[in-house]
Parts: sequence; structure tokens; C-alpha cells
Amino acid sequence: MFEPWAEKYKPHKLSEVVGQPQAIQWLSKWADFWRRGKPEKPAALLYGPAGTGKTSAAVALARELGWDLIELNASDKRTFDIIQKVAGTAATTGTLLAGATGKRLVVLDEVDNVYGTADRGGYRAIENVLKQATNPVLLIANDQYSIPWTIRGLCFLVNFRRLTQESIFKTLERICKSENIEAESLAINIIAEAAQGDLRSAINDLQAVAIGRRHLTIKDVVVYRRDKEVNIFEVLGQLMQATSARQARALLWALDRPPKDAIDWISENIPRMLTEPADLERAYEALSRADIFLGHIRRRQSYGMMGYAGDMMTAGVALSRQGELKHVRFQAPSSGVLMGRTRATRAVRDSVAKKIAKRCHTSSREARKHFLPYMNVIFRCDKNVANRIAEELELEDGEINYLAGV
Amino acid sequence: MDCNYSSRIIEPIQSRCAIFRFRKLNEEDIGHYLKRIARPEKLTLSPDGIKAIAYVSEGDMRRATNILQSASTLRRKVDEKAVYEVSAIARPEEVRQMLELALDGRFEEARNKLYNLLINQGLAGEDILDQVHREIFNLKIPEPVKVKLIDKVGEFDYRLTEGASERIQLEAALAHFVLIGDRLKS
Repeated sequence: MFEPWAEKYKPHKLSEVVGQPQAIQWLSKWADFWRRGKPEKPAALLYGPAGTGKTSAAVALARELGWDLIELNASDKRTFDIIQKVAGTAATTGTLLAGATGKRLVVLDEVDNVYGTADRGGYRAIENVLKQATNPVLLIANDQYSIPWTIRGLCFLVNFRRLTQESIFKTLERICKSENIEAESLAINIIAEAAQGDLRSAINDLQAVAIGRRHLTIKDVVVYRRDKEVNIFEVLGQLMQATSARQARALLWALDRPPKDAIDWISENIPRMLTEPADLERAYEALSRADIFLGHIRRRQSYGMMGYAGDMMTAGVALSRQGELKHVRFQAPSSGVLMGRTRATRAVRDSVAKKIAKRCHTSSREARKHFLPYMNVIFRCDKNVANRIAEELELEDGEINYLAGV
Repeated sequence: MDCNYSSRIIEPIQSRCAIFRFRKLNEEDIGHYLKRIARPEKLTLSPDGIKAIAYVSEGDMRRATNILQSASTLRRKVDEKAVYEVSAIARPEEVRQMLELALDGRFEEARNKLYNLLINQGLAGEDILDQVHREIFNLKIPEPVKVKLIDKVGEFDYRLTEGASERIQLEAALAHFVLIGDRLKS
């Protein structure tokens, strides 16, 4: 089974958190306050760049003190009711593990991506939670200044810094040892340096190059790095030259874009590269299949299908080629961007068509093709009738504007 | 009584009726009727306007009348331009040119035509495929090939209804036209 090493080697105790002695010291101090009763600052804000151990430290803290851990993602609107319940007054009844004296540690991750940032409603909810909290709350964020001072003022601030290259190096070395990989120091050092203080990405990089190997040499790492930094045009060139499915699908990763964007890049450029009509047709058939999977994923959130979509747009396209390849200048997807711009308008068009279809007992397709044009004219020319129709169909402002051509 | 198919009406009723079958109207019929409306409404109706309405209405007189009325709110003179302005349909020539470019192996030019329809004119992919379907009958290719193409266009339309994206599916359809065009050359 594939297990991310970044998970497998997570710290179990606070003392195992790598390279953050000061942050850990502060965090322990805050936890000590809580063990003696409710401190002046009921919450702590752990802030710092990605991959520096904030979440790991929170989890390790709960485990070490025997506190129940309740982890909530702050970007989800629905969680606020839950936060109120678990962090607020309802939590005084104690916990499952430690009975009446036990604490619950409520962890709110990614607080700088809070839902409702625009109207600050999300933050107000957090603020209320903190004011009423009878249990310790940990907020986690990348940038402390992205959080309103009203919340920061209620928090004990704990700063996580980028790790030194040395502490990353040591950790990677330790992982290699327990994975029985003989690694050249220089190879590990290249990874440690590239990570720029982000331990998680360093561990991910190490796993990417070292998995399945007994020996890790500087050569493996150099190849990996070049792959990682390769630009999208180079990858497209490699994709069309790929001769195995495995080789082609690996390039999707190198494209470093979500499949729904990658397909735009691929479809933009393959017609110019392929010389044989039969190749073009097969390649597009593969793209069409990939697109169907993407459509399914969009509609039903069936993300499990992503693999098929990715494989069809890479391996499916690459292996449809039998003829020669033309060397061309690659281009960024122009149409994709343009379609993106009209996508919102298209969505409005389709929602109006749906309402008409429902009211007139016809299909949305029929409504779009044969009813919408008249609606357009009516909305442009006759305000009174337009208003009556808008009311009848319960049209929203955006839809009315669309029909009126505003 | 009126119905779409007389065969769906049970025999005992049919036998008691005189049956009048109404077929789809052709361009001439539609033109004739539209002119009858245009005169008292004081509209100028150009020949290319009639042709356009006949195409857009697909032989449906009610639709034809609606289109005439819509177009006349824009201009007193109803011509081709006015008709296509008030309908969610491309001019048939544009669709035919796109298909001919593809059959000729000029995929990128065909694709640019497609982008024009999708993006500049804001047409829906399904509606463009509808028109592709109609234009296939006008292409200068062997009849059995037309049937194959219709089947293929239907397949792409089906994929659209399954939630696939308009642009990729229509490009794939054009790529198929490129292949067919190439096979016909050799």
C-alpha cells in the first residue's frame, strides 16, 4: 500500500517536532496554562509557512496531554455550528477518554482561508467561539496578518519558522535509514536545499525519487529536479514523443496543472504537431473520452474518475500517433481562456433556459434554441411584458440582465 | 381533433374521421405566408430574409411567424442579417464552410471557425451539432459516408448531454471530419 512518508513519519510527541524549539516551548507553556484552568488567552494561533510543522505540533500536543482532538477545517461554512458546540459551553461535560477533567483541543486549520472572509461573517463566528471557549482552541494559519486583529488579540501567538537546511537534511537521512535506503549525502542535501525550509515538501520529494530504490545517488536526484522544473512546452513535446503509456501518464504530473487545465494545453497544441489525419482523429477521440470523464467528475464530484481522465489525455493522446511529428512552436491555450470568459454567460443562459423549459413543459434545449431569442427581443423592447415574464419565471437579476443584453 | 401521428390514434376513431395530414412546410409555402403577414404590417421582407426564416424555423409556421415578428422589432426591413440576429442559430454557410475546411484537412482553420461560433456568436455546442447534422446532407461526399458522419455527430451530441465540454467535443468532431476527408482523397 502506498503511504505518504510525510504521514508515516509525523511526530508523535511535541519533542519530536523537528527544528522548531522555540515554537514548541511557547506551545507547551500555553498548554500548561490550560492545565491550571482557563487562561487569559484561550486560543493559540500557530502561524508560519507551509510544511513547518504547525498541524503536526497540534496533533502531537493533543496526544501527549491526552486531550481529545477535534480537527475542523475552517474553510467549510457548515463547521461553525459544530465549532460552537464542541468548543463552546456544551463541552463542559468532559470527554470520552479522560472523563470530567479531560479537555478537548479544537483545531481550526487554514484559518486564513475562512469562508465568508468577504463579509467577515466567518471571522465573527470564530471570534464568538473564542470568547466563549471553555476548551483550548488552536488556530492555524500561514500569515498571521491575514487574520483580523480582533481574533489575534484573543490568541497566544506561536511562530513557526522555515526549517534550516540542516534540520531537513537530518530528518531525510533518518527516513532513508528506516526505509533501508542507502542514500548519498549529496543527494539528500540537494533535496533539503530545494525545499527552502518546507519539510513536508522535502519528504514528498524524497519519496518521489527514492521509492522502490535501495540506493539513492546524486544522479537520481538531479534527473528528478530537472523534471520538476521542466517547462510546460518541453513536457508537451515529451508527451507526443512518449512511446509507453506509463511514460506518457507520468508527464501529466510534470505538467503540474489540474487535468481540466492540462486538457486545454494539450488540445491547443496537438493539431499542429500531428501530420497524419488518422493520428489527429485518434488523439481527439482520446481527448474526447478524457473530457467525458472530466464532465462526470464536474457533475457528480466523482473524483475517483480523475485517473481515467488524466490517462486518456496523456497516454491516450501520445499512443494515438503512428505518423511523423512536426516540430512547432507551442502556444498557450487561447480558446480555453476565451471560453473561460464566456463560461459565466453560458451558465446564465442555461439557467434561464431551464426555467423556461420547466414553465413551458419543454426541454431546456428547445427552450434555449427557440424561446430564448424571442425573450431577448421582448426584454430589449417591452419592459412591461418583460417584467411580467421575469416575475412568472422567478428570474434573478443576472438572468434579466442577460436577456436584456446588458 | 389534432395529433402528431395519425397511426397513434386507435382504429375505431380513425375510421370515423376524415384524415388530413399536414406536412412540414417548404420554403415556398413559408415565404408565401410570411408575405401575407408583412403586407398589412408594413414590413419589407427580402428574399434572403425569407430563406433565413425558412431555415431557422425548420418548416414550423408558428416559429416562422414568431421570428418575423422578433426581427421586425429590430428593423422595418427584415433581411437575413435581422433574422440571424434574433435567433440562436448560425448562418448555414458558416457551418458548411467549417465542415468543408475540416474535410479539406485544414483543421486549424476549421477550429477557428468553430471558436467564432462558440465564443463570438455565443452559440451552444448542441445547437451547432444540430446544424452540422443538417449540413451533412448538403456536403459533396458519397451518401454512405454521410450516414457514417451522422452517426458520429450523434455520438458527440450524446457525449455533450452526458456533461462533456462543448469545445473539446466539437473539436473532436472536426478531427473526425478531417479523417473522413483524407480517406475520401485517397
